Amino acid sequence: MPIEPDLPGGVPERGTGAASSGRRVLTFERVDSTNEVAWREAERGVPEWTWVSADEQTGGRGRLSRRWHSPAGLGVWTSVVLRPGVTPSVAPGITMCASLAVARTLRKLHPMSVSLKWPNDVMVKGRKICGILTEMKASGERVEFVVCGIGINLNQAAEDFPAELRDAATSVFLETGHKADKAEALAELMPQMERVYAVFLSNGLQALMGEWRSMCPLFGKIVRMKTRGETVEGVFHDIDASGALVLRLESGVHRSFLAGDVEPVS
Amino acid sequence: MKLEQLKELIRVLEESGVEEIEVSSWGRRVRVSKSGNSYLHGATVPASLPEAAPAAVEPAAAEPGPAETPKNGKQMKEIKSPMVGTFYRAPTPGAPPFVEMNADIDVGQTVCIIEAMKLMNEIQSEARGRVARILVENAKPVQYGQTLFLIEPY
Repeated sequence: MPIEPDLPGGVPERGTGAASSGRRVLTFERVDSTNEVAWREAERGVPEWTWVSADEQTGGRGRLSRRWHSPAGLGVWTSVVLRPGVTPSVAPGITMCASLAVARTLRKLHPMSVSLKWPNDVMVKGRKICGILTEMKASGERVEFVVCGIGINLNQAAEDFPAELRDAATSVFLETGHKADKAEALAELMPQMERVYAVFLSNGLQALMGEWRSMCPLFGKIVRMKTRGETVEGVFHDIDASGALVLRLESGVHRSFLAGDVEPVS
Repeated sequence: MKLEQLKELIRVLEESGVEEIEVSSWGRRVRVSKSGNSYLHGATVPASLPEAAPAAVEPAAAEPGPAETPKNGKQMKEIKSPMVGTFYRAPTPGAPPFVEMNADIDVGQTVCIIEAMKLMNEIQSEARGRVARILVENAKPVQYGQTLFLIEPY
């Protein structure tokens, strides 16, 4: 059962773009996964900009159902229902929009060196501070809805992470030494997401790429791209209009990727 | 009429509410109809233009192989990828596939996931029928418009 919204952002703001006028927030103490709840709500026909936020996820998950640790009160665990009027091939850009909205939020609220890693990881000093899982329902060329799930690590101490993740994950608390306010973070994130998404829909991903690039330290560097079945090295040359990463190989050939893990070549 | 044009004509008919389409071009006349047991009734051609009929009919009739020819005479429905990405048959690694060969599926049923840039796209069937062919291996890349499944419609 949802409990009453306790967030400043639960009240629609004025002046943050047309999208904010429809904002709804469903707040839960504990859910299996905010993406699951948001998906069910979307299936029931809730409008765009319905947010599901939980204090704790018992079954928080990432890509391909990898577990996402989301203990009570230690982070922002939220998902938003979107209904973009775009074709499915354009929709993956939403994952980059979400990473940009999170980066803006963290940069505004906390003195940390936040960076972006293609396609949608938000990092601090090489460690992941936010996970994004975007799921879409489409039929033919029509997107029915998109559920964008965002998990931001706020107040975990090192021991709150499973041992195998301690070198790879971080939180606002670990980086700054200060506890972060969850309600404040969510209240900042929602309008940021609305603004980024509005630009994406009206002007395309390219309109956001200047800012995205500025937060991505690997641009222009020699990187290694690991995909299923091969590893390719080249210069991180660009991100194209569809969001694909473009590598310039040693041969001079440009090659684009829609999947894979990119890392610097030291 | 070229094969591609004929295919396009069949596609237009499939997607429309009309039962039959007839087009004339350069003296050739081709009619495609949904009624009866054959999805392609063939061309009716004026006697003065005898060369047109075989050219129009043969390629389309030969195009579906034995595996693609539905028993009930309806044309196979294709489920195509709406985006470039990676094809997954199951929601998670190790989980049972969304659909198996010969399974009955309904409109709106999830048949696979296509992933691009960490966006997981659940693909729904737009047809009710039987899974007649699964054309892509799990975890392989797919192109925009690539056919993923053939469905024998009911």
